[in-house]
This record gives sequence, C-alpha cells and structure tokens, in this order.
Amino acid sequence: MSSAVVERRQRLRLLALPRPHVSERVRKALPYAGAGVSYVAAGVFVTEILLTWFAAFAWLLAWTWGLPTIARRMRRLRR
Amino acid sequence: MSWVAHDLEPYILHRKLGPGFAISFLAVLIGSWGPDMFTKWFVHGLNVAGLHFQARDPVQFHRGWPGAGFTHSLAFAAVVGAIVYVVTRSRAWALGLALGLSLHVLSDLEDSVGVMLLFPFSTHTYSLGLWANVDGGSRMLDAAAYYSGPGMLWDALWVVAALASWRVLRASHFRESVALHDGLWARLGRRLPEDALLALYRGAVFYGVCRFTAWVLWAHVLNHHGFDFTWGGPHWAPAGHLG
Repeated sequence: MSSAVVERRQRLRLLALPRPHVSERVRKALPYAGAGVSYVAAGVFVTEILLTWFAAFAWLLAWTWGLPTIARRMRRLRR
Repeated sequence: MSWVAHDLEPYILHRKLGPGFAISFLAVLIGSWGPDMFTKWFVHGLNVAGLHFQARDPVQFHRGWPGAGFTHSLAFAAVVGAIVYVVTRSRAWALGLALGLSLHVLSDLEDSVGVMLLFPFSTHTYSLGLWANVDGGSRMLDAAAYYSGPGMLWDALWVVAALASWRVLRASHFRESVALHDGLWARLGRRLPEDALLALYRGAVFYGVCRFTAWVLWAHVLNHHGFDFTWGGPHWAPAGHLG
C-alpha cells in the first residue's frame, strides 16, 4: 500500500467522531427526523420552491438514502 | 381546496381497507393529487422567461365549466378508473385511481367554491362553505387564508389521523401490503435499494406533515395573519365563489 494511501486513511481516521451506540430503530428514524426538521426550517423561508411535492420527495430521498450511502462509502474508505 | 388532506388520504384509506384489499397505493396517491396536479400552476400563475401564465378567472378554470372543473367530479373518477382498467387490466390501479380521485372530490366539497359533483349530468356546484377558497389570489394569500381558518383545523385532523396510522408506514407493512399489490414497486426495486423505496412510499406523509407545520409557522410566526375559525372563514380573505 502506498504511503499516500496510508496517510489519507490516517487523516480520515482523525476526522472520525466517536460513534455512540444506537438501536437499529433509532438509526433508521434519525434521517427522517433530520429531514423533517431541516425541511420545515428551510421551507418557511423558501416557501415557493421548497414546499412543493417534488422538492419534498427529493429532500427526503437525499436525507434517508443519499446521506447514509455517502456515510457508508466514507466509512468503507476509512477502513 | 384541501391542502394536506390530499397527501394523507391514501395512507388512511390503506389502513382502513386493510391488507386483504388489493389496491395500488401509488394509484390512490396519484388519484388524490390528480385533479390539482396539472391545473394548480395555471390557477396561481407561473412566470417563465418574463411571461406570466395564469387563468383569467382562476376559480372558474379550476372548478367550473367551461374549465377544468370536470376533474372534480365523481363521473371523472369512474371514467378514469374504467379507462385504466381497459388499457392495463389492472384492477388494483383502476380501483386505486377511481378511489383517489373520488376522495379528492369529496374533500374539496368543504370550501366556499365547491365541486361539480354530478358533472356531466349537472353543472351545479355542491359546497359546504366551511372555509374560504382563495384560489383567485396568489399561492401565498391562498396559504395564509387556508392556514388561518377552518381549513387549518381540517388539515390538523388529517395530520393526527395520519400519525395515528403510523403502522402503515412500517417497512413490514410496505413489503406485505403495498409492494405486494403493485408490480411497479418490484420494477423500481431493480434499480433502487429498499431504503429509497421506503422513502418514496413515505414521501407523501412526510410532505403533508412537514408542509402543514411549515405553512402554519410561516403564516403565524413569520407573518401575523389573523385566525378566524368561524364557518366560512377567514373572513378577511376574498373568498371565491362560482356562478
């Protein structure tokens, strides 16, 4: 393994936050809660664009599928 | 004109009908949104490249005849259901669309404009006049009026009913009662993982509950529109009528 790769992995490890133990149910619900809170917070200021069904579906997909997928990939890269 | 009710009706219907009733959830949802999906932009107006597109008489266009008011009738629901059955032979989709469209019509009965329930046999509009329909104004005025009067209570009722139906949002219910009755989910499942399918399935309830919260906050925290829960309210808004 090249030293550049080792160095990059070490840097990523330093960025890692301690992971508290959470149940499977909570882990599945957290992205939905995050999506809901952030959507309402942004939606009240940008009503015309955000409070449409298309934006809502895209927002929810981004939080519950997009972000966990990115997080998983980053975790895999760190190992 | 019900706002959040149309997003949540399909979940509650699904819960009421139970897992044994083969009906497409997507069809109910599309039916429930259908009558407004292609017309609302023209009702509230749209600006494209400096041009403004809007119906000259938004209320007449949306609910009347001549206009797109025929989409808010029980006969339209039956005809769409029949056409879909003839073309696709899918009972779950035909029934789902017909039920979804009918639910939309029935929940729009309550506002000041009403619907041509028995079109094409009659163009009489049936209305309970419970809250003011402000389709003739901008979307913001429409929202401000709706979330300041009995419309807000109507939507709150649907939000409570949807949250009480939380069991239909579980992954197990989706697998056993929703995806099972609709081949479209299996087709989508070839491209998307289950997490994404679940998010799509839960999307309308997410949209409904969140936009209810956001519009109420917008109308009464960011702005200060007056509440008026009396019959036909809010009376400060220019309520639309037909005829």
